[in-house]
Amino acid sequence: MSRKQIYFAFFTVLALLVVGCLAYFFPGPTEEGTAGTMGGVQRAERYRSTQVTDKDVLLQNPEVQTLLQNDQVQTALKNKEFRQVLSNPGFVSVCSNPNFQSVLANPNFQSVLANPNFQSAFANPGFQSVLANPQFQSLLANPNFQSVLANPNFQSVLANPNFQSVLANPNNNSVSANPNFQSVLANPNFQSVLANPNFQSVLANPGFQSVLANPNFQSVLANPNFQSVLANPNFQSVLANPNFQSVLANPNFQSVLANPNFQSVLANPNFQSVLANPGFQSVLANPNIVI
Amino acid sequence: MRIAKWALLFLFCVTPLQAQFYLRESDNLRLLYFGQAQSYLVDHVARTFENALKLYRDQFQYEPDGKMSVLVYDIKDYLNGAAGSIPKNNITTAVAPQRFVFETLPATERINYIMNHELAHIVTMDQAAGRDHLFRKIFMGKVMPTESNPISFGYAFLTSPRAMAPGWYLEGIAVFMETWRTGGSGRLFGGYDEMMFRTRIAENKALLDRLGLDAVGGKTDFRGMAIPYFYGTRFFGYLGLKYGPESLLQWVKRTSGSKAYFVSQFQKVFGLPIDAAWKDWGRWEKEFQQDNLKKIRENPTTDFRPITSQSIGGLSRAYFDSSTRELYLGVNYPGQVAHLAAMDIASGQLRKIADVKGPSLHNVTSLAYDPGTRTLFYTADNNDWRDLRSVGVDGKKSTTLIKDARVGDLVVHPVDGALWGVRHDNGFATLVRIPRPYRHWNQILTWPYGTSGFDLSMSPDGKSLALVLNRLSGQQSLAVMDVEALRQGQEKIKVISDFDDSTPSAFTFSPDGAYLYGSSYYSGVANIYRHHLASGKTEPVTNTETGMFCPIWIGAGSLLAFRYTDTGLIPVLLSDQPVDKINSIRFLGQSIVERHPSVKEWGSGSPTAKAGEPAFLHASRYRWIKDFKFDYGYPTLEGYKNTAAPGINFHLSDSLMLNRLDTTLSYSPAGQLLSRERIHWKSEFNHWEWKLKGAYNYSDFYDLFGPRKTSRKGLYVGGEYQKYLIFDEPNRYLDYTFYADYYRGLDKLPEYQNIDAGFDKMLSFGARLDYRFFRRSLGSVEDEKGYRVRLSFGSQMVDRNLYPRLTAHLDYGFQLPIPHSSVWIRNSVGKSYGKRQYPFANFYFGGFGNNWVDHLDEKRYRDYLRFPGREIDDVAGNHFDRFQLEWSLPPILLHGAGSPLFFLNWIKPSLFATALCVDFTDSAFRRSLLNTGGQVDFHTMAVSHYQFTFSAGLARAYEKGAPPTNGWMVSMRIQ
Repeated sequence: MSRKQIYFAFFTVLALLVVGCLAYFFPGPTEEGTAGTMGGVQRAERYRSTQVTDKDVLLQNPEVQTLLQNDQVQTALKNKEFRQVLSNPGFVSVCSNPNFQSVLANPNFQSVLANPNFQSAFANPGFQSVLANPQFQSLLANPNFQSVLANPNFQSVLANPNFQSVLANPNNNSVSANPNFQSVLANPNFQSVLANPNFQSVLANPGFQSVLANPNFQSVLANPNFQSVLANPNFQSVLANPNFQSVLANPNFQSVLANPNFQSVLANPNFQSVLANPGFQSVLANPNIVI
Repeated sequence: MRIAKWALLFLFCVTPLQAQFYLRESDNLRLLYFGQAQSYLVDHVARTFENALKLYRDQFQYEPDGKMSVLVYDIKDYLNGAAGSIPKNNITTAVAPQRFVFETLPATERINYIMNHELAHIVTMDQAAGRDHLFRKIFMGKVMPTESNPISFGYAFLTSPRAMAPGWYLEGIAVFMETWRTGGSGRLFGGYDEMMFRTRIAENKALLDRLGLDAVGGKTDFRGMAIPYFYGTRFFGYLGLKYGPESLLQWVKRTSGSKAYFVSQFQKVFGLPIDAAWKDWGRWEKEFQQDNLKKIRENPTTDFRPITSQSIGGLSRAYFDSSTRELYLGVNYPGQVAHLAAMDIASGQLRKIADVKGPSLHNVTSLAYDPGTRTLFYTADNNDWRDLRSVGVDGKKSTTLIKDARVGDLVVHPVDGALWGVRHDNGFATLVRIPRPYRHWNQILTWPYGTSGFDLSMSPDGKSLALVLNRLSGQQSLAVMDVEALRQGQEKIKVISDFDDSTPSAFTFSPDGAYLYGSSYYSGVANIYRHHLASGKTEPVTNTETGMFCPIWIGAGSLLAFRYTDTGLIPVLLSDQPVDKINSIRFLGQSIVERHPSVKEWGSGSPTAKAGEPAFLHASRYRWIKDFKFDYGYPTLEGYKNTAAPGINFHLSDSLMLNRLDTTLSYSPAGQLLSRERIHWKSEFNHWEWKLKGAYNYSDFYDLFGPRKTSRKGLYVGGEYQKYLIFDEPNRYLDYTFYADYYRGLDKLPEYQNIDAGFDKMLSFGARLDYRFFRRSLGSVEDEKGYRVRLSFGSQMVDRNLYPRLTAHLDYGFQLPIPHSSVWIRNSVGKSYGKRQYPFANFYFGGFGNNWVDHLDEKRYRDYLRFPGREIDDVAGNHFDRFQLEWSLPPILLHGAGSPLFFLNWIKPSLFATALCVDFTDSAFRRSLLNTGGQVDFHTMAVSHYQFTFSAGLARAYEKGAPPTNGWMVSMRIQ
């Protein structure tokens, strides 16, 4: 249950954010209708028989169109790299993946997206650098690594408050003396993960070790926002989601992660603003909107 | 609203759009839309179309000859549509919200309205009976008239006689149908329409007769080309009232036993000549409006004092600067291009501030004013995607702030100076805020489809935003929104006054913020109203006979407003105190529905209830090649050298007409020609930016006349690629063209009919760059100011030797203080890099260049190769400089000299002087010439549709050491 495994899941969640359909949601208007009086004016007679009302106009996904009116969305859509990602065959394949769509519709996932700490962590340059790291990408494709992620014991460890406290401890020298850490060590689930052959295989993986040594990666680990996300029960629920795990294992998904245009988009502040848009999140939640 | 050539041109020019058209088909419909952007709307468009088509089928017994093409696009900021039936039935419609200014368009669901309006055009123009069917069989389709082959005009009438009817007729029936299809929302209940005719009668002016309408119509009128709409609507309304709505259908329907010519059919249905009925209508209209005027005058009418007697035509929102006592506004009147102006309200004098490019017809531009910085903000390209611009009130610092901002209804926030406006994009209206320095807009609120806000006004404290809200059903309300709540993403709105079915217009806050002043047709007449925000009371402030608009509170007890007259709006001063009573007037539409309640059954109803779900094929990318079909073929006559060559012409195209193939084959049976010169072929294929041409012994109809000949012996294949770098409608363009042409077997040079080729094969290739920006005012007959820069580089290859040549041209024109009069300066230079003794290494000048019968521009003397006073190709030079000064005199407009079948519109004289110097670097060959001359053009119309310009020109040329020579020209141009 290394930090790297946690980050792997975190990065994957972030990758799921790239979608092509947006919508905008506003709270309903509060309208106070009070027509004024007009004395002394004789109203001209005009025959009127309304033919078409709101219910007669059936549109397809008007909320998507409404979101397209957002200035930040329009700026993002004009981004050349963003458009290239949208047309990337791997990306298109991922978007049409039923597991991916299921994850998008997951309320926990949406909650994670809406989390300000998540958004802040997402904007972290160190995080983006890690995403671009070839070793990291190789690790994502590692079936053993994926298997570890799917391990319920591993997920249980992630959810352990003591474990999270250990992660938050910037002083590695005192980790061994940290009572929380000792508590984790004694945790049966943790021990089960340690004994897991797949986990051991991952530990021995040179790519994994390279990622561990990456300063940007360590910077992300130390990021308080990131740590907050880790502690988020919704996030943990997403990690445990079998559909999510299936997406992680998808070669097309991995291809997208490795795409330099995709990485550039992730770094784009406008795009990050879009991610924070409640309307956009609402569209993500709409199962009827096909990307 | 005819074929949307402007829409097709835009689509043609902005590539690579052709790869992004999508298509959905049903049994009746071929629905094309651009990209996935409009996909949300296509089902609704389709249902509305199917619903409307069914109604027209039943009511008109109309059966289309195949699927109809409907193109949906978003290239305009306001709703617009067009319909054409030749050679294929097609409708194009923008998706943007309507422009409700002055209540000139119906407030109703836009797609239902536009479909019913445009389908009326299709039915009217396309429906065939009797001999129409016969000729459509003979010519295998509906022939499109084209000036390059005027024989087609006759065939066009034989295959589609009703499509050749005048605009007022086509628009009249379309507006009549739109009114009842939309349940009374159409222009037969339009306040502006009533006002226009009421005003004309109040000013004791006769209505235009049919001839005057066709001859001059919108040329001299500030309402421009909307005039045929108004007259057609009114005439049809009158006929419907007097003879019954069914009589109109009998007139318009082209069914068995009906007459092809609409005038003949009128006589048959109504039993009297159309001009007699037109006069009857004039008499009736006078009585009807006098009754309305009488009702208005039962209560005291409002006194006013005009600030100036000069009408300012169309009008934008105006702003009063109390410190300078100046009024800032946009104006558009015949004789001057539309512009922003400052008016001294004491003297009424206008001072021009800046031109407005692409003004809208009625309200010129969207204007806002920041008194703190003394800056005006306004929109350009108001009929396309609007640009946001600013200029100081002194006319300096004119800047484009945001290109294609698509924002209008501008107001300035009095505290932070941000602009607020309404943006139209892909059918939606969005309230936006544009903070300083005004380079980016931010979304504040996007209304649901069908709802839009307009006519914004900011309270003096910046806390409230007043606007008019239009709902999908057409209901319009005056409302106030909380600005701070809006910035927090909340829509706190209070409807403060509901004017029922009339549009509340241009309501603005008084300086103390206590009142909103604006106008409404609530009583049927546009009067000024004020709304007291605290008490919620709305009161009338004027009782006027014509109309009052855009009130501005300027001081204690005083309002400045704009009074409607037949020549445009005039600023007036009046009291701001309420009046006691206003009587309503009667709408023509109301008279019709009361006398003929059957029109209530003409409503379209819900498209979802009646049409059901059309059976659609799935959406697919539009592939033009699958849609490329034969349109028509007809016999023709061509000219080849001095022979006549009978032949055939045929035409193929796709639904969008962006891919077209035109081919002519002919044969010269007589004349002194070799056998291999008797057969003639020419083809032209247009595919988006590409044009491919080929010919064998090229022939041309106009070579039957003279003196210019374009027919050439030999084989020719060539092509060109033209791409727009700037396509800034309506009048600013930059494009480049690459071309390559191969000739074989020539006897004369391709460009110069009198110069022997001296070779067998030639390859010519090159490139051209062309930038032009021309402007014209209302009532003009041609461009009146602007400039054009053209560069071309080319080379000819003969016997494997290259002979490059360069030319450069600069045209510049400016308006004189005389309306519709301009001075133009045209300068051209060129050099050919080849030895003088080779004929293709020279330029050849001479002649007016017009044929006796022609189809090209009648003012050929402007062309750089023309030099009136000398014969065609008479003056040769290896390099040259040509300078021309032209005075374009004002046209003499004639209110109908002739009959509706054939009449004279206007006469346009011009004077010119040209200096030409060839081979000026070589004293042995240098020649300097000067000419002076003039030309008069007489513009006529036949059958309300075809234009003929008769031109006569005289010139005298001078050259040192040679006697002067004279040249003359007479020509008839067919358009």
